[in-house]
Amino acid sequence: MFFEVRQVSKSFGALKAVDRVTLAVEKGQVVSLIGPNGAGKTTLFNLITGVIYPEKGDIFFNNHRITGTPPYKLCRLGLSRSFQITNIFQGMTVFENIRLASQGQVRKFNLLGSVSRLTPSTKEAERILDLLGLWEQRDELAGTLSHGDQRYLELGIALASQPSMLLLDEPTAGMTPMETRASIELIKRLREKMTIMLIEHDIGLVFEVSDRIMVMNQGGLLADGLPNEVKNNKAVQVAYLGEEI
Amino acid sequence: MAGKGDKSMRCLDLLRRNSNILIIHILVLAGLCALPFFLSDYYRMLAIESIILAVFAMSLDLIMGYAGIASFGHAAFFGVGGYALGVIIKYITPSIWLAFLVVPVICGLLAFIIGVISIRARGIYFAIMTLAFAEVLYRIIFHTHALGGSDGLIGIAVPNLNLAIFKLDLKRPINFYYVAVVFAYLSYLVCFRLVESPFGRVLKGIRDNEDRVSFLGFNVTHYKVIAFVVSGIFAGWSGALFSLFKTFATTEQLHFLLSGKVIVMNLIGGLGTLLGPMVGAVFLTFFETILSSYFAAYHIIIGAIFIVVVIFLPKGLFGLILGFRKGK
Repeated sequence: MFFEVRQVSKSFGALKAVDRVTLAVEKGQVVSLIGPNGAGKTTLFNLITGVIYPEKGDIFFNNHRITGTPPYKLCRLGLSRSFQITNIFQGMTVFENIRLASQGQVRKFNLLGSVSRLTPSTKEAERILDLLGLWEQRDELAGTLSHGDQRYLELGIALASQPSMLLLDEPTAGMTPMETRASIELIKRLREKMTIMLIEHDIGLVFEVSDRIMVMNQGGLLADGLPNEVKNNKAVQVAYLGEEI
Repeated sequence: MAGKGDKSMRCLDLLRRNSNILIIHILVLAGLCALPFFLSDYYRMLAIESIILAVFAMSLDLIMGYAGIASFGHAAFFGVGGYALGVIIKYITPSIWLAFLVVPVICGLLAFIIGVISIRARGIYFAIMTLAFAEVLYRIIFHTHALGGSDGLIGIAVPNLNLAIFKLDLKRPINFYYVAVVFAYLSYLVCFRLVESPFGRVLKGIRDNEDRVSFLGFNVTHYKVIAFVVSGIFAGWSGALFSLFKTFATTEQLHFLLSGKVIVMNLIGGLGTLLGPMVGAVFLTFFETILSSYFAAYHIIIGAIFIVVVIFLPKGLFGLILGFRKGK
């Protein structure tokens, strides 16, 4: 399996934030992780990306055991993520944000070179700006962008490391319906190049882009299946989807 | 042939685009070269001291202004640099070149050790760790008789600077002044290159958002330690030149008062601008000296200026200069 989480648990005091979660993702799939607030979705992302260590269990990615691997090494292995709360470089321009992210692929320390000569990073950054529709804003300070554009930039930074697997934590949080629409199209384009796992509250988006849906509730995995199976799952309806479906 | 033409075209293009900067460099250098002829002996000495301190201040800016890591014990490197030069010239061999080759090795190593141990702590915790290390070093040197103990290492005989074709007599202040200017200018060029390099961009990223940088594939710890080592090396060099100028190395050179003062220089001058802290160092050195001759409690005025600058000029005095240039 391309990506696998086995019996992973993490508690914060008495709270079992993630409780013996086991899941697997095949290469090239788009998988959504849904569930009510506090279900443990972001904690699971944090466990996967080495922000916090799991108490139990193991995580595997692309034939590597990545349990507790620090974020910079995961990035080099091809695992990248975006954040729920916009996590960009406010004081840099949009272009510099993406180029810095792209520069992460160059392994060596370059103390006396010139950034303008980093041709591959610059080219990659330009490609991503174009893909995200941020070309016009390339020289603006990231902190001055509109909320929606900051969300795109957030995504762009994650993309710039050319991942084979991308974890997106609520990519459309706070976006206008039009911006969300554009994000859906973007995810559909990205799926040709990478495996995507996303946390999302926009149910419309989830059902439109997902090959599979996993539902978390109170730290555990409640359901895992094709969109239709999840939609018809009684337990899921009770716990989360409620009247929406 | 075509390649050669391309290259010279590119050089010319680069020159044209940067002509303003080139002119500023030439003007500032010319000004610095002419300056000693307008200064009395006393102020000439003060100018030398302030130029050396300017490099020290800039070295702190590399980590504090660019990587966002504050060191409260930066005088440790300044002091150790001074003592290292003193020991080499006094007891080993009177060669300035050798001293300036050995000092970065010692200070770099010291910074590496302090950095590796402390860098896992963030923010104020890191700052306090550096302070603790500096105080320990201060105490060790203070109680080491071989290094002169509380008297310091006095009587460093200033050797001539061997410049291959001739030997420069550094006992003449005017010669020392030009050596200090060249030292400061070269240090600035290297530091400027560094902060504008891909490495420098990562440092700025760490300053802006350390957590995110690690998700981009950068080992933040390595970057911080390297920056700390480079910073320690420049601090050490400036400390060595300082001791050579004063002909002694004292424990004051690694005292926390100086560590504090160099932070003030950075904040008054303008953090994260390289030139700002240099301006801050020169300003503070001159201002302090001039003021102290009129007014015993001159620290009150410096304190007031500090408060005003920090509140109203977030980019310091240098920001003010840049602001005028842009007509803002």
